[in-house]
Amino acid sequence: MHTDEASLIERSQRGDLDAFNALVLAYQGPVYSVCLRMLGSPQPAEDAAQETFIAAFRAVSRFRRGSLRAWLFRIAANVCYDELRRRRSRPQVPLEAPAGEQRPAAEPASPDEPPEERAERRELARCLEQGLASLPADQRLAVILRDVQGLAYEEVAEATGASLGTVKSRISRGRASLRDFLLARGELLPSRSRPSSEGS
Amino acid sequence: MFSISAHGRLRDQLSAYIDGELAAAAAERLEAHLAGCQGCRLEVEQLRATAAALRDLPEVQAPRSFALSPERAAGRRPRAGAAAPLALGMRLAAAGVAMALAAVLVVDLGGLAGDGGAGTTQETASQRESRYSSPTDAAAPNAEGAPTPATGGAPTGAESDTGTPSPADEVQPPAESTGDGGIDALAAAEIALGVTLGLLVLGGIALTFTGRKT
Repeated sequence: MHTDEASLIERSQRGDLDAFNALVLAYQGPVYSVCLRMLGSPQPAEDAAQETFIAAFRAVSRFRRGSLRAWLFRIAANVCYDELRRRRSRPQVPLEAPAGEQRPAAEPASPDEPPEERAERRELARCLEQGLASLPADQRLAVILRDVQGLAYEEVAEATGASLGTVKSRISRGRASLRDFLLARGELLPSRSRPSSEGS
Repeated sequence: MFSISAHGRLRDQLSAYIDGELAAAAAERLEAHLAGCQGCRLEVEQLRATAAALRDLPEVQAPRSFALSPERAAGRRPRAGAAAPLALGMRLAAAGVAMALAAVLVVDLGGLAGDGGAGTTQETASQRESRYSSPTDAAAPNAEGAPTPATGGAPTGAESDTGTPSPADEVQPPAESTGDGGIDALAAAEIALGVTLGLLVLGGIALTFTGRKT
């Protein structure tokens, strides 16, 4: 798998578009997901994801050793920051689209899950998306990369171009704000803690 | 036992602690604090629950494939392919009309008022220049290695408004070019000539592009 990726990168660096597109297919979900949560609505996220891969293809010859995923996220983050800046310069466009409203429903349906629990989980997810959208962009990006995408702190630093200390601080502040956001809406009661959370 | 500032500093480390990102010595200090601080213990649990809830967010699927076509990879825009020649044609047409009108204006004002007219023309040109040199593509938070698409000529966005002269901007002949009646007839003829020239340019461009498409 990893050797596969290395070989695809090498071929991409020689201009092999098929090899590059294999990488696109492998990473388009996470890249789109980050763009969607950074920008808040599907169409700008689609544009940003597409722009990310175009820019990545142009720059792939300069990619050195490291995490391709972090490198792609870094390009995506830059594209998203550009879009957020453009929105700020056009005040008629809301800075933050309400998260969750236009979000594609990607609810994994589990037949064993009681309807009330599913409804609770959906409500918690909706609330979390809103909380994410309310964070400052730097904290939002750090939390998304760490907690939603599961990157290590070093990878988050690589993807954001920030120092490890800054990354720790952004994740800490972002999570604390999110916790406050959830508590204020009664969404972080002890019963809401998933069994998986206890093990971490 | 702990001062308020020390307590605050330790609280700031809770998130890194639950991720196992604290150095051993710092983690030990924090654990000693947690043993005696119920508030921080509760906070650890809440932060864990928050992080777990984020991990459990539904996975988002890409709505379509973002694989690049050879055209995209080469920097062309297949989607906007039909609109691009039209947009270019419109820009060229606008420029053609503007040039024709500007030529009429220069001849007209030169013949009429001398230095006053020339001054007006110069001012228009400098205004136009300042419009073209307006900065676009603000610097992205880019560090070495990662490209900034906005500055790298990425094919979406930003290009449409990079100083493209709009017809409304360009067609601004000074309204004060009134003279006596004899010269009015000459001016009208010149304007008619300019408009005809502009239309010819437009027609030529349209023909060029329709010819290329087929």
